[in-house]
Amino acid sequence: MSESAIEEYRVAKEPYYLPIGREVDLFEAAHSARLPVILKGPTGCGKTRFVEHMAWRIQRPLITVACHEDLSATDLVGRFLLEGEETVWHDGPLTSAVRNGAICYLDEVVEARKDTVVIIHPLTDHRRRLPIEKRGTILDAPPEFMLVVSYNPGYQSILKDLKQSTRQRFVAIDFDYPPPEMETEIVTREGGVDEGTARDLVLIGQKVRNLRGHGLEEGVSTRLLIYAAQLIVLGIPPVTAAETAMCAPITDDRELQRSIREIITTVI
Amino acid sequence: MHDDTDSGIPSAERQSFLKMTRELAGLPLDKSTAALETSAAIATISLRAGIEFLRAAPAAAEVLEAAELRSWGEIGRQLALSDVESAITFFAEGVAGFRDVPRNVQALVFQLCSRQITLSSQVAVETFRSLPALAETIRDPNELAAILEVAREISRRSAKHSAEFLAQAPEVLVRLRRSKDPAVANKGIELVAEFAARAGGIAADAWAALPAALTSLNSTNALRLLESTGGFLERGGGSALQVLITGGEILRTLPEIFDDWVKLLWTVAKHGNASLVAFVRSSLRFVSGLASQHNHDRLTSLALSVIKLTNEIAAIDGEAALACFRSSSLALRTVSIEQFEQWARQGLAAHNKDARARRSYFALETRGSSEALRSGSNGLALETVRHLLILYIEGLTGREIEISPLAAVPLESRIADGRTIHLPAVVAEFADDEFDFRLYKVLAAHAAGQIEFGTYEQGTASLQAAYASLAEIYNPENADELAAFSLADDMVGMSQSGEERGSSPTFMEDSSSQNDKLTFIGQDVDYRRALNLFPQPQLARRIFGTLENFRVDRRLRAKYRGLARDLDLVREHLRRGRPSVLELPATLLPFELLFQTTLLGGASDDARQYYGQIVSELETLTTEYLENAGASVADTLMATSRVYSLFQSLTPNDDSIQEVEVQEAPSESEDENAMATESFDRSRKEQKPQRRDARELFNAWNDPDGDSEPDELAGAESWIEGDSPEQMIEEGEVAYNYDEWDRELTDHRLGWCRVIEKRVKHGDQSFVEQTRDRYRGVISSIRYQFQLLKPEELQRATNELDGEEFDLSAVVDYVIDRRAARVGGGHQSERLYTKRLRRRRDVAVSFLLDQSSSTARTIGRHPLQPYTRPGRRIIEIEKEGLVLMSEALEAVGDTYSINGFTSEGRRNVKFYVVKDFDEKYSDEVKQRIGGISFQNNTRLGAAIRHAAAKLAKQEARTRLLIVLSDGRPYDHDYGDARYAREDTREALRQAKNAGITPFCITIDRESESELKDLYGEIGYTIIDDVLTLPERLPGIYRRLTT
Repeated sequence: MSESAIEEYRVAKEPYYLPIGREVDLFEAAHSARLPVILKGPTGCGKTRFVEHMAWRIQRPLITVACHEDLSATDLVGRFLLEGEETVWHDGPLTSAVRNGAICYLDEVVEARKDTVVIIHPLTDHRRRLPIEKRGTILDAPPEFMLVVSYNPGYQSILKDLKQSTRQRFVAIDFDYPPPEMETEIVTREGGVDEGTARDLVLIGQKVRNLRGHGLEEGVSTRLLIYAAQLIVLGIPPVTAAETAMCAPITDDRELQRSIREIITTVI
Repeated sequence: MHDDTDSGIPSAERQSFLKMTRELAGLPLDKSTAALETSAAIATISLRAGIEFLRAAPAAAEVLEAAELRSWGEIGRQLALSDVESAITFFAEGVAGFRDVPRNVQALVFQLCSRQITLSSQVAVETFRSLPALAETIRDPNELAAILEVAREISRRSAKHSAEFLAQAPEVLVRLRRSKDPAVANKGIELVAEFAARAGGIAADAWAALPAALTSLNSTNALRLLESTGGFLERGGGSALQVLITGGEILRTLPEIFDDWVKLLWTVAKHGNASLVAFVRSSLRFVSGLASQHNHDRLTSLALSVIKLTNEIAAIDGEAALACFRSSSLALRTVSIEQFEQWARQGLAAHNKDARARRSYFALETRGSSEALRSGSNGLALETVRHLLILYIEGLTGREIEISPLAAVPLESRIADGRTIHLPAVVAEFADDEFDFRLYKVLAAHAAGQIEFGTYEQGTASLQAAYASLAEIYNPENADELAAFSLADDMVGMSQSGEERGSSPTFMEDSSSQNDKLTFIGQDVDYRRALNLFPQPQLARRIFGTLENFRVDRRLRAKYRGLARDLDLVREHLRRGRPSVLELPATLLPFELLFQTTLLGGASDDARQYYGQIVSELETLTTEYLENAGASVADTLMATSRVYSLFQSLTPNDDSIQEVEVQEAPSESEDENAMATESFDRSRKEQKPQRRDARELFNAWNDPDGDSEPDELAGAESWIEGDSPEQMIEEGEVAYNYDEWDRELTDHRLGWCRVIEKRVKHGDQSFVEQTRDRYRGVISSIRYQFQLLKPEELQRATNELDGEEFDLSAVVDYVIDRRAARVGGGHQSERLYTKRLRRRRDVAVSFLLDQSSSTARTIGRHPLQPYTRPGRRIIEIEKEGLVLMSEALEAVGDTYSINGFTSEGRRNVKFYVVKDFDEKYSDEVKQRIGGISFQNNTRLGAAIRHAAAKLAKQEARTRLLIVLSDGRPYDHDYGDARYAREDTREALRQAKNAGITPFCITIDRESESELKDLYGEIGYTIIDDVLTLPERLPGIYRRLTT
């Protein structure tokens, strides 16, 4: 990856983020101390947005990798590809982040295979280096490089748990859905609706989140609330918008859907 | 024995004696003879009394005839037998008061007194003395004679009752005479005379009940009532008295049905007096149950239809008719009269042979019956929306709740305990499921609102303040304790704020040690405790219920805009069905007004017109306390207190209420008023009102439809509670209702069993330790075997070093890397294969242990074991099995729970949770295992249903229910062996349908065929040698799960 390509990963405009607690200070401190960070919190509560915002703040490029079951170490580090009769080495996202002193953000890191996760170990302790096995080289990370992973503890499945040996390499910042007033502010601002509508959506959100563990794996995310708001702005009736954004997406269980609908019509 | 003798008569006495004789000589011959003879008779007992008699005789002879003179003397003689002095006083008093009393009456009095005196001389003397006053009040000699004849008749059996009767006579007569028609009074006396003739003492009760029974009735109706009551005398005085009281009530509310009702009673009477009395007693409830929901015309036609139906049934079976009659008012809340009729006819046709099935059918106990009732109605059943509603409420509140069915749609949401939410089993109020669901939604939202808006909060500052001020009003005797109590509150407040400021610990200690107990009172005060402060907690509870619903309604509307639509819909629906205030009995009126002003969103026009003042007072009250946005349950309590005192002031001397009452019989109003006030005062003084005393007013307030107790089971069960007593539920325990399969009915009995979930008392952990020691070798091999258990689910793993298939993308990478390696020389991954792995094991198991007393049996010594080891109880062996099983399960990592059960009748099935699914195998669990002990019986069906319900909530692929039983199911009211067996089989079958694999391990050595009958459809195993159970149990489990 060339120098110019990395520029594409710079965050040019300030992404909107409303700090809930001390997470901004914490992140900056971790960056200065060259500590890797784990962001814990449910889906759609603003982890990714937060990382974007921080990348803009500390003026580093941000390389995001959405982890999945088939993500192999090769995918992260890089591989040789055939080009004509030649084999050419291509940096993976992790390698290019290390090379360019960027922030590497591994989203939903538990989704990655266990053996894949292990390759970040040498990057996350005092060594701060990335061995590239296929080329037989070792890459040392510059001080600006930072590794951030996100992790959703909500799954609670033993299979989707981070190993202690991985966990204990990070400092952790806890995220949760914002408190009602702040969430209202966020929905107002991001969704472009008036405050009353936002307040209704947030109230629905809170009530639906109560169903977590009663058939719902996750509560309705702030992101979905914003989607609902955006639909409302475009002229969709509020009840329909709320149903479209908050009911069908989060569950397939008909009864659960129905009860969420009843909650929606209770509030609106 | 006698203190005087003839020789001892002093000269002065002798003188006067002569004088007296001379005076006597002036009397007519018959009288003087009577006087002398009687005197001589008295003198044989006491000379002094005899002389006294002689002295009084001339004056008495002017008033009395000879025969009466003898009777008078005879009473005195009888008195002298026990107490000479009182006899002397008796004669000295003379009979001057009898001067104006007609002769026939005199004769009656003496007859009455002489009868009484054989039973109690004291009573007789009092009767005698009271007579002049009685004659004074009852001027009409014929009436007086009639009354005395009745009294004489009663006195044949009971002197006490005859005296009571006479004592009440003037008052009652005055009231009876208020009726314009003298025939009523005459008829009343006639009736009482019949009572006296047939039933003796009960006549006094009937007499006392007469005015109340006849209140507000016009003379035609009054005569009808008296006539009918008289007819029932042949069924015994008690029955007739009930007819009199209840009949009056019916004639006041629904005169149109009276004749049919009486006809029905006669049909029922054929089945015996007990049926008759039970019927009459249910009648009031029947009428008031219907009256609270319908207007007059509709009510009349409904009641007539039901009575007609019941009459048809009663011709065949009295008990079934009674059941039908009792079910009717509940049933008619959810279905139309046509459906009800159809249901009843169907029941008669279907169960024409089997009386037991018929009775269960008409009592609405069986599932078939309640389905039959609703067939043809499109009502929305709770079952179809239960889960949805649970999720809805849990969503709104964030709390776990249970839904328990009610037999009928309530007018307002019930205030319960905040854990169990009561919803009707069926809603068929609207023709449309959608609308019916909205009614459910409103009820559910109310229940959620009660939780969200703090109905059940405890010990908050405002509640403590409310409690203290209520206590000051209603419970002033405990003022001392209260002072201390409020002091404790201050202390609590201080210590809390002190804590925040981080004040010194010594201060904390002081306050807590001084007021330990009192602080405790303050901390757990909640609405229930506050309501119990009222002298009439029932009344307060009812007012509180309505007001609290109003508060919740307000707050729901404020917070949930969308819900207002549904709330309005239901409110409109309720409004349509309200009876007119003019038709309501006075007793229900205040509640109706309260209900209208609060939950219906304003009083109806006629309520406003006739009771404007009360309505506006209620409005002011509710606005003052409950309109503001932050109103809490404490505000409701204070409002309850205000409404409570308002209602108390509404005894019928309030003019506005009189208006209605007076219309029919203006002359009686004053009178009724006086009675009501009187009974009311009495009840206030006593604090605990007697049911009968307060009949006129407070009884009806207290118990109009019988569902005032929040914990009481509603519906058909409520009246059969009697035959199966319920034990108290202790703090923190939850009860569940389950159906039971009735073999003979081939149907389920609804909500028949109550399973109470309990925690096991802690026992000794050493049991587990000892078992572990004893089976040390076994345990380690079991653990090893279980660790080897192969997980059952396959998972594909890529990038493996070896495996069944190539991983294509890995191969491609490998090829490229190899070519590149020739250039650069790096490392190539050889992980090219995919593999299918069993990675997950997904089992949840629940062990259900029979803890009945039969497990206390001791099993003999094992022949291979040394003599020093005594026999063991079955339960101990079962417990050992559990210990080994726990070790095994810990090794394999399956989710498991351990439960035990016993039962004492169908309402008391106790389900002990030894270890729940989400609990760890901690020391506490080990102590609980040690604490398992045996008691009572085995109602296996209910326990299986509960265990299955708990297991069904587990999200495992394999769900296993292992029942450890030592024999046949048995309980007091569990039918015969076959009944119990079939219920158990049905429960197991249901569990299987719910995706649970039941498995039974039994040590029963009964015939194989019975076991096959019981467990045949599912897996079971018999352990012949009980002592091997612990070792065998893990093996059985392993076989089941691999």
